[in-house]
Amino acid sequence: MAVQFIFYHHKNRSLAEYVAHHANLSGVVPGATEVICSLPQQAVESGWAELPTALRRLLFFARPDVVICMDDGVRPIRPVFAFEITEHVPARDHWLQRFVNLVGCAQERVPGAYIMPFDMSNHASFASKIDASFFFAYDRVTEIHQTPIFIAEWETSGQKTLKLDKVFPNQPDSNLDDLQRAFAFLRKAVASAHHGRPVSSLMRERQIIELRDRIRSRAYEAGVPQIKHFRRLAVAMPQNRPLTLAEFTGWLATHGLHLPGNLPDRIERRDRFLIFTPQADKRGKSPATLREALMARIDKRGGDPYLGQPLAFDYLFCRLGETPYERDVNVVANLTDLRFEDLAKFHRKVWEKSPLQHTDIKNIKHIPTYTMYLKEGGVEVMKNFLRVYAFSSDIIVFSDAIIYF
Amino acid sequence: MQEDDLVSLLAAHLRAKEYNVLAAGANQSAAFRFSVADRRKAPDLVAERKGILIVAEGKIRSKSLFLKGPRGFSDYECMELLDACETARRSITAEASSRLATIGHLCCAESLRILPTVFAADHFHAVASNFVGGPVLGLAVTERDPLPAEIDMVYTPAHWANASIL
Repeated sequence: MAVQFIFYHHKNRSLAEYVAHHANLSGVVPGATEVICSLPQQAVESGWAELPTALRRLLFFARPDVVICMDDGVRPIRPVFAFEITEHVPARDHWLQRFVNLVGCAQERVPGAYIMPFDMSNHASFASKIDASFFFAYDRVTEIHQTPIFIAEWETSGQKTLKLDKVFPNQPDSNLDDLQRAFAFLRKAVASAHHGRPVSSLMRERQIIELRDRIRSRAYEAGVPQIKHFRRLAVAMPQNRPLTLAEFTGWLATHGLHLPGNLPDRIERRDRFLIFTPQADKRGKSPATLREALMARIDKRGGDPYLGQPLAFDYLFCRLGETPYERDVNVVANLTDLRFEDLAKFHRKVWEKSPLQHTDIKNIKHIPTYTMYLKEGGVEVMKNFLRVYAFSSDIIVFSDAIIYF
Repeated sequence: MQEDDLVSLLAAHLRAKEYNVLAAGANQSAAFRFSVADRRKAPDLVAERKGILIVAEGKIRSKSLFLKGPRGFSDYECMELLDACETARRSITAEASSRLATIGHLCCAESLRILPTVFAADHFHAVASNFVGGPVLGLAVTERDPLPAEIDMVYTPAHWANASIL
């Protein structure tokens, strides 16, 4: 059977068409066909449960703009490469909110390329230069998951205007050096997947080593990131290091809270606590204002800019292995601006819509959704903020409760 | 069909008609973003040919083009406001001019004429009267198998009537 490549896109069909046009995958797998599909807009839509399982897992944290899946008619349909693209240089620490977009890929051992301009310091309205920590964080992701992620530069003219493609003038010029590297990387990864080789074998290929060297040379430009470089960390850790257990207990006491007596051994034995505070600047703001502001962000803006930040700090300062259990520093999300019930209202909605509440088959509207709940629970349809924070954190501290994982 | 598929259909059609598609995507968050009435908006599609710059907003259903969004304006009203706002038009033509230059099409921003446009995947029967006397082009984009899609100009503003648009 001929191989088919399925280009799933998230509200970016134009990029999918551009990638399909320039990737030339039929040159890698002769006779292969290509099809472009849209991802369901929401995880609660019925089409979500019908996506290939490996693709749904990849979309756990965020949806890359394009995910290429391979169907060889023998093995399950599986993702083989992902693309994320942005026209803007993330200003200051805004890279933290873009960080999650390809982490799900690495976790699923799917290579990917992030395409973005690095320096638009002369742009009229979005003047910015990328923070080297972005490269450092992705180098950690590549190292931990043994899955290469390439960050390709979308070059500009005079740090101002993006260089555009002649066939698709709303996309990067495909002749740019880094775009050529990204497409060559894509073809290498697809060939490797087609021949059934593990992704980790790519890490020993000279072409991939050279891509990693490019990322590393930028990652270490400004030295290794430190806690004091991030206000959302430094506010609870002024000594530029994680808190000890005794210090963390004292910090909880300042919020009128006590450490639960039955914490998992894993958490207690680490004796190091990295506290992430989303709203670090509380000057002139009442508790009610802070609570309202954070809830509005979670409710109306998908948690941005805070959504991916605990995961980014996890990779920068805590993570040692492929799962969040493999850390030597605990990740603590300081949500003391909220009450437990504030976030609980989101999982209540999931519960109210869950097909697991029904015992009569006539009430099960969509079997794939029902069986997805049976096998995986409601985690994929959970409010993204709750899902990512639950995944990333060892402890979440509310103003009136502490939960741990 | 989703909104992005619709945008893509129109973009493919315009490309076939030798337009330079400079932005296309329901999710393209900031390219050609303009401000009107203290609100910021990024069009779904921007395309240029011979100095005509189509700046367009699309919805699957044409009646949705006239529903007020969370920012207080409908897509159609945003296009009307764009037509009336010289500052917004200038920011778009400047961006278009610099992007065109990067692909070798040199033209000064002043020579570009913006044609505010809305498009949908139906035939606008229920909403066609809303266009009369207005400055906004209305396009019905109908998917055909095989492609390309069929594009029907359901309303052409009076002062564009003789222009070669599609």
